[in-house]
Amino acid sequence: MTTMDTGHSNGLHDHHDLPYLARKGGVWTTVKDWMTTVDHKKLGIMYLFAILTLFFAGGVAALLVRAELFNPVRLVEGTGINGIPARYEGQMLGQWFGASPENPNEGNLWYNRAFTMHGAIMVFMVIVPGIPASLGNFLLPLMLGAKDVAFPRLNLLSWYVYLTGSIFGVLAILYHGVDTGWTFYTPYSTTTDAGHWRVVYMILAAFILGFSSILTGLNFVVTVHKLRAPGMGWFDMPLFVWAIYATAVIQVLATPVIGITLLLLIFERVFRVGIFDPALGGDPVLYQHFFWFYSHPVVYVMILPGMGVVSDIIAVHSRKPIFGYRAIAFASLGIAGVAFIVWGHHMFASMSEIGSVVFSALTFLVAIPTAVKIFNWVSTLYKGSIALTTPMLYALVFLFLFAIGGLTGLPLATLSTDLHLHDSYFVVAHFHYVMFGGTIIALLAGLHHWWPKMFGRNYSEPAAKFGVLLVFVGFNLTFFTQFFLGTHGMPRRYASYPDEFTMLHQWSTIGSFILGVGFFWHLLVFIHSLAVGERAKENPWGALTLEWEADSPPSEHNFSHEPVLKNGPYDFETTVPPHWNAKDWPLPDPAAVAANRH
Amino acid sequence: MANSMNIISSTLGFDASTWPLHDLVFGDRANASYAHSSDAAFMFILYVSILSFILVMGATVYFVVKYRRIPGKPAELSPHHNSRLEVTWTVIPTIVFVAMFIVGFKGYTDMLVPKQGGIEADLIAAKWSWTVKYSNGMSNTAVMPSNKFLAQPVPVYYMPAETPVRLKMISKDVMHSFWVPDFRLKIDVLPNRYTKFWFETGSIPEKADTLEFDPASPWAPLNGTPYVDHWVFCAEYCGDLHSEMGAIIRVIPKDKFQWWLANAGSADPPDIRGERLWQNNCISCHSIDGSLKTGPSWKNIWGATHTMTDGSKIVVDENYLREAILNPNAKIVAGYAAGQMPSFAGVLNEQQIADLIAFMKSSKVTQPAAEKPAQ
Repeated sequence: MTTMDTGHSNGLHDHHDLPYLARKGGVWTTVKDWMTTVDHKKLGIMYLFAILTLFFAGGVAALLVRAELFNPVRLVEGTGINGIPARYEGQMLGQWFGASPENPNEGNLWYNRAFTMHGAIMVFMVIVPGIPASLGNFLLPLMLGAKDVAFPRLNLLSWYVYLTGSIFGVLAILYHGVDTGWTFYTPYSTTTDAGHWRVVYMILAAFILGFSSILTGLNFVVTVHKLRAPGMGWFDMPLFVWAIYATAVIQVLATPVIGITLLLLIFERVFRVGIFDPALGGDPVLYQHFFWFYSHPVVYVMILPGMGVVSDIIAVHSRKPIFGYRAIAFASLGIAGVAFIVWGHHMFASMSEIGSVVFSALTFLVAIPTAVKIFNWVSTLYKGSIALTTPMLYALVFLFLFAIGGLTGLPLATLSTDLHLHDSYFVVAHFHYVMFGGTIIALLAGLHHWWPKMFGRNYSEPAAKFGVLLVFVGFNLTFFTQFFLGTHGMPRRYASYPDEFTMLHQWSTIGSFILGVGFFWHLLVFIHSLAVGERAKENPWGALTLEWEADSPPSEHNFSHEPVLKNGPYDFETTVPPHWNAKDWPLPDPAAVAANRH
Repeated sequence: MANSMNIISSTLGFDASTWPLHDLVFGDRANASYAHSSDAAFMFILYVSILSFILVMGATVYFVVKYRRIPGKPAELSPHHNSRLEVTWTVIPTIVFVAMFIVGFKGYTDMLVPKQGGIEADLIAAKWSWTVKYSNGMSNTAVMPSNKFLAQPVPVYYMPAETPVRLKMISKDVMHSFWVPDFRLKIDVLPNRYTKFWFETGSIPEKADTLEFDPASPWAPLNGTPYVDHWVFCAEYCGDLHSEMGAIIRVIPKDKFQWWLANAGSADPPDIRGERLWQNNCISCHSIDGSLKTGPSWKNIWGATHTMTDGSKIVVDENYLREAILNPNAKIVAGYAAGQMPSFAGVLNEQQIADLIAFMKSSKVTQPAAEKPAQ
């Protein structure tokens, strides 16, 4: 059965039956088609390509950072003060980018640019759009049984706004980058690098990217409300859709705040309007409140879609309904709500004491639905039929890494311990475990799970599993060491350090290069799949959600007829999955099933 | 309130330095009265985390092995949810989190509410160095000549053992953060208002290193003094040499510290310098004997309650005085006109403002409460 067999004997004549990836003509026609498409699948693929490219760019910046930290910076000649010439060693980035070995400022400046660009690229251009823009765009209408999102043209606009914002970011990089930290704290960000425009380009990049986020969020909220297939109530939706919905609500409500804040930052820098700089009558802690009011909810924008991916993958690959479906659905909304009232936990070292006490208490509140989700995922495995496919392995890796990330958030929510750990490597390790070990691992899981659907090709399963091993080992070596660096006193955003931190830094750097090799390996596996991979079946995993009824890859309008929902998303014990033969899917005795449900 | 805090303090102020895994996590250099209870909070969270992680991951591994897929065999039936179980695993973490919050809050108050007695000093942060000014005006420090820290030499600030130390901190430019990892505390240093940092050092261990200076140097009397060094790092990114912005706090016995304070550098104490500044800048509008001039008299000003023209009452403290000097029209004392006092921003630097405040606190200006004449 070929992927293009939709029952029509001359299927190629009706373009609605062509896979969405099929060319429509020559090179120029194809390029024009992709540049003006409103097809959510093509947009999702383009987002995916951009996000993965920028992920590799941000990853290169990270490897530059870790390479620099392999050796501390030391004075090897002279005394370095009072104008006596000196020479410094250990400033690798400085040397590569042509800084003078007599001037430690220049060498450190390149390091400071590297960590800033790493953070800014990863946060604004990769992880925030991340899963929603790529997998979300591709899968949301398919999972709902719809032809497209609610506002397809708005979707295309979102894509071009994302490209525009990213171009400003690339411009800042081409002008040697910015060294303010991705958080742009004032008054440093409004006074540094005076006379140059690159800081403004970077801030503008984030400002413009915010609009892409808002428009996509709006589109998704309306799509979930209005475009569900007949028979699909809210509690019949896959949990990935619940996750995307909760994410979209946060995107629409929170992103305008960072937009205004970044605009104010530009006004202060360019027009010297005093809002955040005390020299102009402003207050730097005010900036922190404005910034974190968005930037805390945005971390839930980053993780909720990942949790949605993991929910669906664990259910499908253990052939079990998710334990506590409603708990997970409501926990997603609960996390989205509480996300807005905890921002002050980034500011315990600079905020009022009463404020700190309140924010610490509220922060523990958000830990509760998060813990509940982990228990639900593990309980889903109970009495399942578990296959250790690559998506399932990554889902399990997610559980491992996200559990560590979440648990290490607890000493950061706790007031007395946070005053030691704030702005140390402990925080760096914590957020990499949740953002990287959480969101990016979930993205990898989702890519491997939906790859056959998106591209109609299989990838080499043994090769992909080897990638999982490299990533898992590299990740833990890189970041687990950093918890100890933090508790022992290593501050973050440091180009150099005292001797006693050297060994842990060297292990961390080695881990980061193993991690880099692991991702590069996955890239090769995917390229190999696209080039010569075997054709995929419509429903290789035996899943029950509507996207698996479509072809692999789906035709342009997703479904030949509007689907009518006949089963719940995880009814593995009563339903033979689409495109499967009943003899390959033995069902338990219906009477036993009915008894189990009561 | 103080009594109940003492009770909580004795039940929750555990010394974690001997607990399992403590030294692996923190090392063994903690040296502040509140450090051990902060560590206790962390170790409590760590033990709970390790236990939870083992339970969750153990269950995961067990299920993945026991329920691996067998071709042709469907999954066994099991409940899709269980209200009692779900409520239990919501309530128990909630209780644990409440306990963590309380322990953290208790440690937090220890870190922020300073003990009285001991010494005070001013800390000034700038790109990219720390300056500590002691109460006798001295800020001279020994520059550590080795390159064990970073790419440039590092100032060493001496502090007395077993003594409360209170720092008043200000930045001359951007945000910095004063972190002493061995004390387990950091507080941000801001350019527009003072922030406070306090610690009480412990005793010096018996096997401590001892100071050795060249017998000909002025520091020679300190030879043989046992000491403990603690790193100071800047913990808020501040530009090119953020990672070079270090210092060392060197704790020595109290008697040796007194010698060092008196002899290692001299300058007029801050209140004398402040008196000279008053004579040169403020005397035309502000008296110190109560006589009325264009501006309020400074007599007994420190700690007094003033009523402003908008009816609000403020207590005269360091932040009010600093604002009055730099932005005089922000608050006007009732009975006086706005627009009279010029701002001294750019005229008086942070050190001079601190000296004026010291003068206003001194007994030449403010009588101690017991000696105030009846109003």
